[in-house]
Amino acid sequence: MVKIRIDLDKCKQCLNCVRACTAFDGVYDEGPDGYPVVARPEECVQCLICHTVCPTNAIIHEDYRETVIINPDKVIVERYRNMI
Amino acid sequence: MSKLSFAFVPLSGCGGCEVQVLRAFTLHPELEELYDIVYWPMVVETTEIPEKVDVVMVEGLVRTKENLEKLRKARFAASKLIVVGSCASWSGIGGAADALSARLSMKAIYGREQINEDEAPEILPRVFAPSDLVPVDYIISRCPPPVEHIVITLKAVAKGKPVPTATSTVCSQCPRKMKPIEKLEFKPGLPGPDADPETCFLSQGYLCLGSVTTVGCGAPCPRFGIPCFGCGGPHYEIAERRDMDIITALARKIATLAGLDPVKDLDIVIKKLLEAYDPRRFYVFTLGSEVLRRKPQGYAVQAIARSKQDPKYRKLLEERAKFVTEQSINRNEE
Repeated sequence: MVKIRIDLDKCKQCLNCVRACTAFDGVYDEGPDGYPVVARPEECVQCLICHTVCPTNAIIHEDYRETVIINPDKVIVERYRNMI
Repeated sequence: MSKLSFAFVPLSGCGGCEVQVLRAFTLHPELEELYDIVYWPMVVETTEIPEKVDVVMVEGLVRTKENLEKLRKARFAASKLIVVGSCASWSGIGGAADALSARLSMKAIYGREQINEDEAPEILPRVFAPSDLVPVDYIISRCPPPVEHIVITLKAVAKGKPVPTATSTVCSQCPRKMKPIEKLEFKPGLPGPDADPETCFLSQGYLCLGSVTTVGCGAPCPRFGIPCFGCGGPHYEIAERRDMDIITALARKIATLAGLDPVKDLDIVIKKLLEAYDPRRFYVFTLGSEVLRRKPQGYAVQAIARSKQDPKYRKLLEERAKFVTEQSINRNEE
């Protein structure tokens, strides 16, 4: 699962991330102090639209888009792993 | 520790960056213990760039053939090439020269389309930013580049450490509060005295390039009521990614602030932006940069083409050319 961090030093409290999140339930919520909080990180589909709409690039996704190969065939898995 | 050799190569520019580097050397005397200045027309009397220099700084644009040769020489000599200022990194204000035909401008000012080579170096058909022509090691952007950035870079290079890079935008240092946009409308021109001093310019409907510009200045312009014009150059993600341009990245942020979808309603916002502002307004400091000209949406190229075809500018230049006669040129030479 992806880890999401919000750099509060940079955050402008515009809540663009809350509005733009494409996940079904929405990953972010408005916190009590006006800053967004990562409420449901498991919903994240790693579309990274929050990076695009954040005016200060305060959102950091740690180890996102890890290559996950779900084909059980070992030969094919090995071949693709070599390609990557 | 032995001193590193240092050279400063000024190309076509205003010389402001040179003054900033000189200030850095004056305000921080410890830099003189690290560097030995071997070539710098403003400071030392050497006339040729030495064959091997450790650190070379380049300022200004490549406008003439002489500039181009100087830049090549600097690159071959340097083991670390640092470009300073908006002009050298993103083509800066001088990049807007491309919006007018070089030959027409020459005719309007000198009365001739071409100047003989023995009088002055030949002018290239367009301007280039040095960072587009040769590989560079570091970019110190902004107009003028802050002294602190120059000092940090020079110290880190001397010690062989990596130079810290900017990852955020000007907005992160701006004290204005961002609020959602209630009605998507853009007010052309600069904000007047009726603008709210504590609310973000984007929320008020004025154009501010702070959210797409690299951090590092402390946001002095928005603090004192002037919107950001983007002198620091585009944010690194915009420069790197092919699907992002200054206009599209800004429109995505504005669309989300206005409660629209950043992907589906992008065209609506871009159309409104381009209706209210001239496309050159988005590329004040980046019009000549190859990085932004090669974007697939091509807004920068469109901006150049539009102003080149604009009869208003052509007429202005032609009217100016009427006053430049053979006599006036000869008189100036005498």
